[in-house]
Amino acid sequence: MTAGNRDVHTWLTERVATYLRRSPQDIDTSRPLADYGLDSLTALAITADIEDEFEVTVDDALTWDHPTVDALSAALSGLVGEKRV
Amino acid sequence: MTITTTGLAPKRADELEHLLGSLADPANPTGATAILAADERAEMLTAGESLLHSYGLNAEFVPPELGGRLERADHLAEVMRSLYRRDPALGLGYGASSLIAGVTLWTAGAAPQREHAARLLLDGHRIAIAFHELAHGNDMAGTEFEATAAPDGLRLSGRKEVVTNIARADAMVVLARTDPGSGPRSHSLVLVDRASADPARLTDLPRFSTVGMRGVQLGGLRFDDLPVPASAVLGPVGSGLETALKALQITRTVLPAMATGILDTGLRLTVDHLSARRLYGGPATALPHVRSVLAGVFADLLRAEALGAVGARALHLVPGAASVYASAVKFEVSRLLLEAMDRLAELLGAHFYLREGPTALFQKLLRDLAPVGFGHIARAACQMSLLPQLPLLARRTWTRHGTAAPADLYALAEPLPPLPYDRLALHAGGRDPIAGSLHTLLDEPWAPEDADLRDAVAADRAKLAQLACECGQLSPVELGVGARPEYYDLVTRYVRLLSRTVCVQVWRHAEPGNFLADPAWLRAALHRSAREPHRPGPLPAQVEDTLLTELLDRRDTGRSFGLTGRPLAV
Ligand SMILES: Cc1cc2nc3c(=O)[nH]c(=O)nc-3n(C[C@H](O)[C@H](O)[C@H](O)COP(=O)(O)OP(=O)(O)OC[C@H]3O[C@@H](n4cnc5c(N)ncnc54)[C@H](O)[C@@H]3O)c2cc1C
Repeated sequence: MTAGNRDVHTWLTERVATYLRRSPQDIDTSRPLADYGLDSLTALAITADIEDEFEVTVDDALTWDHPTVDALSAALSGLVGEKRV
Repeated sequence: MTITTTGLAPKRADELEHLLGSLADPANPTGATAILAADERAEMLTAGESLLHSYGLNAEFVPPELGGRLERADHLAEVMRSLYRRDPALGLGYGASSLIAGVTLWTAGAAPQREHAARLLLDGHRIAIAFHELAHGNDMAGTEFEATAAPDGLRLSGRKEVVTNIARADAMVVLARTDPGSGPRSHSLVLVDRASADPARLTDLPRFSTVGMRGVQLGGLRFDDLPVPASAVLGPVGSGLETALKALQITRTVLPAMATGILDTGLRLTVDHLSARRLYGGPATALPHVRSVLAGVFADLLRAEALGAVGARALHLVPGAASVYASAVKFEVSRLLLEAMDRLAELLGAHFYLREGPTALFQKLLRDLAPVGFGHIARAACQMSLLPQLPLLARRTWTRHGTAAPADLYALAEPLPPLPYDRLALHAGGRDPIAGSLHTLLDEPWAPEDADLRDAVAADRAKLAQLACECGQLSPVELGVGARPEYYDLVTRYVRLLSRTVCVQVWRHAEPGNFLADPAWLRAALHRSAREPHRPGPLPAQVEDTLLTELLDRRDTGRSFGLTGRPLAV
């Protein structure tokens, strides 16, 4: 699966929802992932998903510095955009 | 830059071994008699500490660019084995605790902090590592000790407890909360200089007494609003847990690797005792059951050291995957050592229980070994730290060919590049070149007489694929603190496959003529790590014979029982 033109925010929300076995509508993207049970160690897995999906390399502590879907999307949008040109 | 030191052990390891002298010589101030007397008094071995001081042991913990000898993690473990072989309390209490502090500094310290720490250590001073609070155990993020901002820096308040050498260290690295929030960016490491600290704001707590490592000075310290400059923080404020999780990969690998020295002496004491002991008209070592246990323990020591050595080399060569390998080494090497010492204790019978006579050192070694399982990080906590990595490892490595590790990872005598502290990572991102090598191993050339070994590799590859299926299904959400106990078994299964692969690779890369190139030890290692409902049965007769012959030859020629088979000052 490739992201195509889908928005990073939408993709991330869906990814997190899949992990939580919930629907994307149930995720408040401004809340820390830890509130949903993705603690500091388990949230690290998301960085690898991001790498696989967008073919970028991200910092291993990305989810520590940007602990919500909103913050992650903001941090990624520049990076992902650059790679897409 | 590649360092020129080659070989399984550096020359200086022989020097230190020689300086420490014979364990059996009652007149040796660093021999078993003196070591046991110090242990009975719950004191450090003074003669040992002054010997290590004049030898300059601390330089082993300092990187070369700062004037030390910390070139290779595998060599560090081998040097330190000379201590663990005699008195593990010296190993931890003179040495390893300063090493733990050191690696946090080399990983996250600014140049002036690193230089200051290196100078302290090279001058023979100690640096304590103060993470632990009695109320929180392994739960590092639960740390309450606080560093609050003040106009001129920080103020430290709280207690650190059960900390090695805290009362007699010149400096300490303290884990402190810098943010009341619960996230992973709420803690910082702070380098506290005891000499310049206001003594009115520090109170030493009474010493903690212990079952083993009795000489080690375990203390505590209460801080009452101690001011420290802002420049005392290692790395950015909030990076404490990140630094700890990265830097301690080094010590979680090398500390268990050092502790194999304990089993080395335990095995020697047992063989010595049982060969001299006459039962049923012959030496006890003639009893088939005794021989079988001894050969099995020898094999376990070899595989523990193989995993330790490859784990240590991985820190240099594949640092991005070391988060996985460090936890695996700590988990598995500690298990092998604890179980093997227990089996030796059974063989020694009443003589393991005696605190006097020629086997008296055994009971001390057994007590001193125990913290290898729970100290620094609990074995179960290692499993927990590996758990969330499993689905990614499954997806990115276990199910397909990935990037191979450099061959030097397994060629133990080959030189290594410097330790890349800045390339250690919080997680491996699913990259696992060691287990991944199961995919390519089968395609490599195999001699017809090694068909059984190739079959074992093929079976392991199938097991890895099965494990990948199971792990690939899991969501990281299920793999956190609340993970179900059966998931911990997935880690156990993975680590078993990993360590079996390590043994195969070490054998394949061994120098011809070396005992490690003999498939007998590998057959023994694979047999002992086979997954069965019950404990593995006795080794095949021919394998057992080869191992016992080697074991007895090493004993007769005063050589170590581990990977290096080095001459010792026994
Ligand atoms: C000789 C010695 C020297 C020491 N030196 C130092 C030092 O220099 N500096 C320092 O800071 N500390 C030091 N310590 C403290 C040492 O690190 C702590 O004793 C240890 O980490 C605290 O954990 P605990 O054993 O109390 O276990 P707890 O964490 O309280 O564990 C209780 C139980 O929970 C289990 N458990 C814990 N975490 C998990 C998990 N994640 N998943 C599943 N189960 C889990 C454990 O296995 C155990 O069964 C030293 C201790 C000793 C004995």
